[in-house]
Amino acid sequence: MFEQVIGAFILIFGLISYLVRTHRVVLFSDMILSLCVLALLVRKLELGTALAIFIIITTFHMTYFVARKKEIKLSRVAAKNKYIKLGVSIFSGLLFIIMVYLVYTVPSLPVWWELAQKDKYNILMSIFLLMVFLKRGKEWT
Amino acid sequence: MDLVLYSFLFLSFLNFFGTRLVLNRYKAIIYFSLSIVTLTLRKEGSDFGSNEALLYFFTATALSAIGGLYIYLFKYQNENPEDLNDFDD
Repeated sequence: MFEQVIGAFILIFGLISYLVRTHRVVLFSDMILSLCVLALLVRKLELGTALAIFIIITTFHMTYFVARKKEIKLSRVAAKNKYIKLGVSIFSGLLFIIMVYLVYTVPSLPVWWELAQKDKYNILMSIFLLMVFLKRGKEWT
Repeated sequence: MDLVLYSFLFLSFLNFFGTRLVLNRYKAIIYFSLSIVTLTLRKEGSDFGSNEALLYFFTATALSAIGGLYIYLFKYQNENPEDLNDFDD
């Protein structure tokens, strides 16, 4: 019953997010959808994993929030909206900390993730390049 | 759990094929990865359902979506200084 209610909420708010054009309503429905996902995952997974997935989804929505008006340069938006810049920086930092924690502390991963574990330096380098890209993307392009 | 899975699948296909905005397509990637996470959680006793594997998978997928979104922004951005703070369409 609980999962059915959560599924209905996900469907309703996903449709609202798809159909409505007002940007703040879209962000609000996306955040409600993220909370529904968190409530669902907490019952099935460990709390840390569920919270990590929730933070990643929220990070994506912050990205989406900044990027929705794609005519605007991100750097200029960030310069004029300090809280967006601060939020993106905080969530990027959290994501980076989670990845570093995972790569260096998980002792035994399943077999099909050994490649990812062996490739951890590439993952870290990709995250580093992504963060540098967020900072210096204007000059690179 | 079935309704959650079908909702995510429906939303991912809707956001991917039913729009001209590239941004919605990146959102569809997130929905699709969540549908795979939900599909994994439906199977009891599966090794793939371990926390680390799920988190690795979702983090990798979400990073690709976020990175792709930024690349699209920087590649296709236009100068339009008139509506810098106008977020509502």
